[in-house]
Parts: sequence; structure tokens; C-alpha cells
Amino acid sequence: MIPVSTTRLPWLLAALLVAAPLIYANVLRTHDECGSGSRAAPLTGVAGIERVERHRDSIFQWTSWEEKTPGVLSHAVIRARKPRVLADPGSLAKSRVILSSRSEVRHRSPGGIDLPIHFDRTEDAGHSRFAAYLFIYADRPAESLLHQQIAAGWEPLPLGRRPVTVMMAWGIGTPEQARRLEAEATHWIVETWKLFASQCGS
Amino acid sequence: MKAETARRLGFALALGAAFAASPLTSGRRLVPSLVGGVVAAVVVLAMRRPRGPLPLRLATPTGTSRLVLAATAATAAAAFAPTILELVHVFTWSVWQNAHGMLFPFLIWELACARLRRSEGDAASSAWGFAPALLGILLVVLDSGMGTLQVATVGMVSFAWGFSLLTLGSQRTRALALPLALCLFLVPLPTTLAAPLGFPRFSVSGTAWLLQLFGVAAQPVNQYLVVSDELAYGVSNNCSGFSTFIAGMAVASFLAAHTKSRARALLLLAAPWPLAIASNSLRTAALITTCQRFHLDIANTPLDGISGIGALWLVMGALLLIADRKGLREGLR
Repeated sequence: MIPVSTTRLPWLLAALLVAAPLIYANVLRTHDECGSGSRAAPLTGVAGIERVERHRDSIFQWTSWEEKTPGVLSHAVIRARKPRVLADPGSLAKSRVILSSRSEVRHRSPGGIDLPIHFDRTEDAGHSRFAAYLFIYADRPAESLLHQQIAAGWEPLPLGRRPVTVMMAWGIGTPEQARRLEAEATHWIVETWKLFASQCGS
Repeated sequence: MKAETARRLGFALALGAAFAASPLTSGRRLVPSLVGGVVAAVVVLAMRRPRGPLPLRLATPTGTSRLVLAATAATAAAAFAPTILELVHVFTWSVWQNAHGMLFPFLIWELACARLRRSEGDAASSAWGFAPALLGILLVVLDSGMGTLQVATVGMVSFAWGFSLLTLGSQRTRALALPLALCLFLVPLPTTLAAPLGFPRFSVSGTAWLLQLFGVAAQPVNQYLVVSDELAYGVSNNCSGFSTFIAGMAVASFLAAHTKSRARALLLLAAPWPLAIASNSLRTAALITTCQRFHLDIANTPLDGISGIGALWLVMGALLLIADRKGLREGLR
């Protein structure tokens, strides 16, 4: 027989009774700077994209048609309540970009906020592919969602979970086409951020 | 005896259900899931013979103590339920991510029971248990807002360690050190770690080499295998063998702990990386060759997932061959 001690358990029980309501409050409550994670109405105003239902892991997506046409830019705004599902944005595009190099371009938006736009690039025979994306945690751009989640620490506790957003543009083409598309992608992301920032803020 | 039989039956049914839900039986397809679950339960029932003189029995407290223990366990289960449900969701999602998650807890449970059966000492509750237990609760509360899942899982492991110190004492918690440490393999790791560990790159090279042996010309370009003008097969982080590697590391650590020879233990711990890459290269080469021969669309064939399951079992089988099986049987007695 293995003896079990319960002498100190009342204190542990007290701690758990304090923690449990906090946990449930956080899990069940969300705070969205755009009003609602499922609607995010302002983003439907972004030129060239429309809402597409994507139920996996509470992903809400507004996208252009995901064509693999060389030389044509595809773009999407994807929002999720679970940040981990956006960890590898290149894999969310239909013609997925399997990373072989990554770089970052910083753009200063008119509001003076740095926009860290990431570029995942790869090449197969004759084709260059890329995915450019900007992470947004709640209402501010983030270099990395995981780091931002951890850095925010206590912040969600009084408000509830906050959705994350990725603004992404991707394309495939010859190296020349890809260079042109990358410039277009950067422009599109900056413009979309401006719209987002004007309508989604705490 | 009846209680022991009921426990064995309960364990077998729980494992069968977990196996049926896991991606290792394809998870979402009813027939293979049911067949896999029933087979797993029957195999476990056949293997878990009565243990003779060493049954595991906890001295259940009576009266108020019993009530406190039950209330603490129930409150902990309720507080951690959102994390556990999220883990189940992640562990049943796909063979390409955390494929071992549904079954590994059963190995940990078996090991913990075996260690407790052999442990001695009284239940001198250790107040040190409050530190990891409270830290664990704090991490789970924090992560309920952050939503990383990794932080909450580490929190639950920390809580389990503290709970053991508080209820079973320090001597028995020392006996449980290995099973508690193995719980860390349940922390879901992001597949973005695959690239820094070289999985896509080495899988592409291995596959290209194997395709040459099969008589298929393929040129490796970055993470792509260019087979023809129409077909460039990309080995992403997900299907690079990373999930197989993590599952292999978890099982190899479990097996290494039951190995008397240090050299064999080191071999077990070093084996998952090359085995995962080799099995994934073989899987990818076989998949490309099959799809080419029968004109199948790789992206829309169930063969992709099925070959992933096969690659994982191949690695598990190889690890079991390397393992000290006699030491394992003794360790779990």
C-alpha cells in the first residue's frame, strides 16, 4: 500500500479555486480591437479580397483567389484566435512557399510605427516563389507572434485573449517577375496596414 | 482480483480509444480508427498479465482527508481541462505534428506505476512541493491569456511534480523523476524547428538519392525535388520527418532509461535523427515513384498521410530492435 498525505492539500485546493475562474474567464473571453474576430468588417474594404470561410482552428480569412498564375500577386488577411496556427504563414498559401531563405524589410508607416515585413523565398527549377507577411498582435505589428505573446504576459488577463492577424502576399514567377511582385507585395501590405490601423485600435 | 481486472480492462479501453483517435490510425476515418483501436486494446489486454505479488494500491485516505483529495483532484482537472482539450486537439490533428501525443502518456503511466510499485518510504509530505505546484498554476493562468499552449503544458508538468511532492513525499517523487521528466515530450513543438535541424534539406537529398536507385531522375533544388516540368515536390517542415523525430526521441528516451549498457543507451538517443530522415526519404521516394507510375496527384492522395504513418512505425520498430528488451520488461514489472 502506498500512503498518500493530504495534510497540505487544502492550501493547494485554495490556490486552484482562485486560478480556475481566471483560466475560464480568459479562455471564454476575447478582446478584439476590430470589434469581432469573426467579422472584422473593416478588412472587407481591402481592395481585391473577399471573405473565405476557413474553419480550421478558428481561422478567418479574407483573400483574393489563390491562383498559381506566374506573375500575378495573391494576397490575404488571415486572423486567428490561436496564434500558433499562424507560425508558418508560407504554408497557409495554396501554392505554399517552403522556406529556403528569409529576410526582413522594415517600413516606417505614416504613423511612425515600424512594420517588420518578412520575406520567405525559395526557388525550384526556373521558378522563384515568395511569401511576404506582416504579423499583428492585437493592434500592433510584431516581429514574432510567439515572442509578442510572451512579452504581452499579463496584458490579456483583464481583457481576455486577443486575436492575431497576418497580412500576407505571395507570388510565383521568373526571378524578374518575382522582384516586381515583391515590391507590389510590400506596397499592398503597407496600404492594408494603414486601413487596419485606421479602423482597429484600442 | 476483480479490481485488478477492472483496472486492466480500463487501461486497455482507454489506450484503444486514444489509439483510435490518434493520427496513427488516420483518426478521421471511422473504419480504420475503430479497427486500430480494438486491435490495440486486445493486444494490450493480452500483454498486461496479472502482476502477482506487486499490485499498485494507494492507501486511500478516509473521512475529511478523502474529501480534500477528491476536491483537489477534481478542481485541478477542471482548471487544466481547457489545456488538456487543446492538447488532444493538437495531438489528433495530423501525423505530421506531435503524432506520439495520444499514446505517449500511457507509456509514462506504465512507467510511473512500475516505479511506484518498487518505491519505499512513508508519505512525508514535502512543503517544497508548493513551489513547482504554484508555479505550474501560475503558468497555466498566464497561458490561458497568451494562448501559446507550450507554456501551459510546462505548467501542468510542473504542477504534477509539486502535487507528487505534496501527496507522496520526496522519496517517492524521486522514484517518479523519470516519468515526470518524460512528460516534457508532451509539450507541442512548432514544426518551424524542422528547418534549423536540417530535416527538409536532408530529406530532399536522401529522397533524390533513393529516386536514382528506383530509376527516377529527380533534381534537388532547395527544398524541392524537380521530377519533371509539371512536378516539383516540395518537402515542407511538416512532412520532413520532424514529427517522427520527436516521437522517436520520446520513445528512445523511455527505452534508454531501461537499458543497462551505456553504449546502447547513447545509441538509442542518437538514433532518432538519422532514422527519421532515412524513413522519411524512403517514404517520399516511394510516394513519388508510386504516384508517377499510377498517374496519381500527390497532393490529393491519401497515400501521403498513410506513408507518414508507415515511416513513423518504421522508426519505432528500429528503436525497439536497438533497445534492451529484457531490461525494459524488468523495468515495467
